Amino acid sequence: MAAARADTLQPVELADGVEIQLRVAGPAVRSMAYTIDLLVRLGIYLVVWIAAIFLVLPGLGMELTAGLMLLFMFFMEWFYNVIFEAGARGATPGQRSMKLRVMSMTGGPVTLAQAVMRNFLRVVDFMPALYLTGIICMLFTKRFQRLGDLVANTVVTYADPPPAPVAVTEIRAERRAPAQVLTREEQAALLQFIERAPLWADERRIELAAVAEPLTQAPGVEGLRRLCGMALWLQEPEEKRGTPPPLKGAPLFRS
Amino acid sequence: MRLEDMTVVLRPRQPWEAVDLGCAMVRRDFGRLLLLWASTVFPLWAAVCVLLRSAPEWIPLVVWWLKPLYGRVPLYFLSRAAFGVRPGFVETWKAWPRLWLSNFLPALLWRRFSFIRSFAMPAQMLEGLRGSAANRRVKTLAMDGGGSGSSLSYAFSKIELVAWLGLMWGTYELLPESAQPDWNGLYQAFDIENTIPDAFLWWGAACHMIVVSLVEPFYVGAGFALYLNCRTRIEGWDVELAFRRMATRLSGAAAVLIACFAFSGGQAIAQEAEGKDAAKVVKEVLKDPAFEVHKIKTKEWVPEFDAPDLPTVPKLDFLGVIGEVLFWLVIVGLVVWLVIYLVNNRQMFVTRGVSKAPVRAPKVIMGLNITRESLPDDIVAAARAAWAAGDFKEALSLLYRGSLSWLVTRRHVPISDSDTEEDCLVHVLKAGEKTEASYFKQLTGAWVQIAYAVLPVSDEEMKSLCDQWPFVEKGGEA
Repeated sequence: MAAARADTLQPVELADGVEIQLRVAGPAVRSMAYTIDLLVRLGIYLVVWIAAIFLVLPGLGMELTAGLMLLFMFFMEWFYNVIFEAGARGATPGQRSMKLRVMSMTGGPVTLAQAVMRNFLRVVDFMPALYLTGIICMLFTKRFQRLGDLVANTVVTYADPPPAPVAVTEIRAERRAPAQVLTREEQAALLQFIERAPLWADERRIELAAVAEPLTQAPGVEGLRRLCGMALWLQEPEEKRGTPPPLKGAPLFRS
Repeated sequence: MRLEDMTVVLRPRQPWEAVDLGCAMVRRDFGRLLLLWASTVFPLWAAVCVLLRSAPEWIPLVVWWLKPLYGRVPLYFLSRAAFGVRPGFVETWKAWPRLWLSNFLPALLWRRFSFIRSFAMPAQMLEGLRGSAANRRVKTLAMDGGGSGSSLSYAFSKIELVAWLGLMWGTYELLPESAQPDWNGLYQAFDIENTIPDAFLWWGAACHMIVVSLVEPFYVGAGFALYLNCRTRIEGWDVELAFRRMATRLSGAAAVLIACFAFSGGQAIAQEAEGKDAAKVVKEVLKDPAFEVHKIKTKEWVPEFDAPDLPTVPKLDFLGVIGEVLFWLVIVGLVVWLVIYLVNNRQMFVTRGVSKAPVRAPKVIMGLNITRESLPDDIVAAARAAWAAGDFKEALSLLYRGSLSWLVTRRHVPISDSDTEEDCLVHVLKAGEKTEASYFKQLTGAWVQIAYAVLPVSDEEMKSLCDQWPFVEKGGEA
């Protein structure tokens, strides 16, 4: 059962035995990024065409201007992605706006060679027309790779760190060490609980605290209070900050 | 619903990541989903095709319009598979009529144009709400994920459209000419009925169905995952799941402890079970991609030429023959040149100062220069003069050298430069004339006496040596 659990994090084992998790991005968000890039390129062509008509055409004539424009478009079509992806941010403007970036499978930035390979192979992914091969390939590979990615050993991942909820809520509970030794997953769950609890309704909080009753050994609000105390203790075991003392009748959560 | 059995890793994700999760879920079960799809949707399409057989241009529109129905069976499967209970085919087929008939009209009429169709579908189908309650519920959920829901619809309709056009464009050239539209006529007269053949329309409809079958399950799965993500964020499903596991562990530990006290034989049974589990665990671990055995197969492409094509290519074998001949010519030339060079420069290999002597006579014996040039013309006179001057050693040296020189050059006595006086005498006695030999014997005695023993030689002896000097040109020899 464990082997078949679906997840968006894809583990990759590096050569030195370290396992990293890649937040790979799928076809939907990548198609959005591609559309934005396409619009950016079309916009650039439009601007350059108009500029050429007024600045270059009178001097060089129609044929030479058209030739220069075709050359310019050729370089844009082939190297727009390469230059941006091999650059410092590892993302085209479209990918950046969707908060994506291209990465090597090892989690490092792509090299110029990888960027060239994955983008020149767009021709193959485009086949038979309109990226049909690329779309199908992305839908059916584990890390959402199109053929160019598979060959260049790259992935497109989310660039920004996972969202960290801002907790400005004051929690009136007394710090207390958990009554039993907790595993890392359980500690993480407790921390998640204390970070996200302010977003939930009171009933839901008590419901969740009731699930954790074997740990708190208390039902209802008292269980919730103990659970919050343990989570606070995990956040900061030493009493560095003075915790507001639990007031009788005062709400447990106060923004 | 048992959260513990979830086969999906839940955590609060960003909307697009949730969409990716949906894609991953669908990909995992795509085979089964496609089978369910084929068994439920294809009959409907067949019916549509039969009904619209005289107007195939309307088929894609109807197929598109009926889309809300298609996703219901896959959603039924996905929602159960996500919670660890994969429904069998029979079970799914039994649920099929109920799934399609519930919410039938709203879904196909006023909700058809909802931008959050796939996101709202789980709320409508799985939560069992009806009417205004369902609307409220969808609205509540959409507060958090509605924007992403419509982005999702946009992204997938774009993918679907692009894939459809791509498939038609990519296979256009494969169509028989009778099935290809007359584009010129279409542009000029805009006469759709006569310029676009029915075959083209049928084929376009078929392409549309193929693409919908491919993309729609992913769209439905993505909407479901977005819905899951929404509820995970709102209700903390991932936290609940972790808490449930913790509760099981904490209370389970206590239960085991009690069991150990209760049954004495419990331990053995537990161990046996553990052994079985270990084999299972090993199998599961080995399923991991990290243990996959990769093989690299290298295939070499050898271009094949057809035999009939070969005669057109001029025969170039003679070039090889010429090349070989040239090669050997160069080698022979090199060897000849080397020989000539060595012959011309052979003095490089010979010690300097040794001229082409007419005889191989040594020039130096026992450190004494015996070449004719180093000696005076009249050796006897020179010796007498040296003797008169009191230089006895020089006088005898002259005589001795002169005699050796004569013997070596004229008589060809085989004396080598390493021979001693004794050796020389032996050689001379063997090879030389009697008079010369006896004279040489006397001379050697005198020379050894003065040169090594440093004993005086009498004037008489010297006189007799000079008088008897035999090594002169005689008669015809002069």
